[in-house]
Amino acid sequence: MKRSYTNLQKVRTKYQQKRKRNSWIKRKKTNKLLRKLRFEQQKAFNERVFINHIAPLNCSFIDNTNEILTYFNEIKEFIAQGQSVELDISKITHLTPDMITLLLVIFNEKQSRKVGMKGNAPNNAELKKMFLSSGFYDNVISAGTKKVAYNNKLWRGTTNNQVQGKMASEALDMCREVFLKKNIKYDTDPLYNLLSEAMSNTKNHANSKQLNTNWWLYWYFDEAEEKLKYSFIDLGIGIFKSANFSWYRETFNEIFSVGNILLVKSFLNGKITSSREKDKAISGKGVKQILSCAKLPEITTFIIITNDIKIDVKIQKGTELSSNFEGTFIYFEVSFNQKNKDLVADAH
Amino acid sequence: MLTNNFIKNTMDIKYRINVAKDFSAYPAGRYKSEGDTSGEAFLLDNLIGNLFAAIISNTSLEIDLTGMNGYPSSFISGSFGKITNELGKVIGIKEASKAIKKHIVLKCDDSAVRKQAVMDEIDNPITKTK
Repeated sequence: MKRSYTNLQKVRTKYQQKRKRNSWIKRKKTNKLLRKLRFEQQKAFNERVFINHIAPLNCSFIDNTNEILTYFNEIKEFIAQGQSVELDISKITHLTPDMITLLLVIFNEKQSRKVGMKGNAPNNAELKKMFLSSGFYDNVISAGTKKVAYNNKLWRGTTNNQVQGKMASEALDMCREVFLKKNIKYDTDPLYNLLSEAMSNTKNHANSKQLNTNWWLYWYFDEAEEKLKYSFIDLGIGIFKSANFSWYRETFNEIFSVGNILLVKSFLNGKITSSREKDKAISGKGVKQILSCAKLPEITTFIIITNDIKIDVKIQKGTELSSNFEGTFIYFEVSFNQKNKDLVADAH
Repeated sequence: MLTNNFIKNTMDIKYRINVAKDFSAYPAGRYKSEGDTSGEAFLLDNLIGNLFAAIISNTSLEIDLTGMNGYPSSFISGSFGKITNELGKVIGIKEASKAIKKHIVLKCDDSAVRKQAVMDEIDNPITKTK
């Protein structure tokens, strides 16, 4: 008993001596200061003022591209300035599925999470139901859980040098199912190619300063319109900025001050090669494969929005946008109404 | 079964690859760094060894594309296009295509387009931009 007491005394004495060392005192002081700093930072973060930014009433990236893009870029500017923003979509009168992906991208950008963002849901009952059951809330911090509806699904991916083939296939399960109900064994190969090439291209469209570019894939089953609506988005640098003909655009811009609109025709004709140097001779077929899907009769809408251009691939027409979209947005609709059912049956 | 109309291959089939079963039903991406189901991974892990073995033994390699989910261009270019192009650098693209087609038999029970896409890649691995 006496022996163990002596041991305890020894440990205690050693510890007391340790505490008198300069390095110990210095470490304790630094930690105290850091704790104070962290507390003040947290206090400032909790007390930050949010700017209420009201969304356009027609909340559709596809139909109201210019207005939504302006709104989107304004948010990005606020975030860049370190200003917290509240996205107010309470008064919107129209909401399309493509907006879900765009809103998620805004919320999930690294800088947005750092600065702080919050938002609300639409007041309109129908739009609110669509928004709450979209899976949006599974990807942001929110109170309570919102049940995701069967008629839509959302995937988040990251370039991280990986192409998620299985995910692309899963995203097409609903498509197969819907056509099967109409007694059509639908060949999803072209759409699988489209989605996996879109994922693969995300890496090429990534900013060289960014380590990873997140992408989002979302489908929405519109039973009223008998359509499956797919949206794919990445916030890289966009197709036209990443393509290897950027020198061509820059030269033309210097002389004639024209934008990427000049390049739309070349893009649609597949005269675009990868900006990658490795295997350059055999690269560049992915974009052609993506665009070829527009020829399918069941694809009734096919839109690409990238940089300052909106391209309707179905009618082979490009439109110049009022502001720049730093990223690539691919949207297509698969129709399975009676008219298209016959066309698809003939085609496959 | 859809017959292969592109190759008049009368050699014995000694080697077989079922892409969906032996490799992956979800082919995607060009480089191995893009995932284990990429074209490069297929080329290095399955295609190159079997194809060379078929060439050396003067037999055929049957590649079954049945059950695959699509045929992304980055995948077929990273595998079939890559091997044709690399061989083409030595003996010329036409000769390379001919040599590869001589020893490959493509099979696909659920899509004729998939087979066509692979054949097109072997015939023309170089991207035409003009």
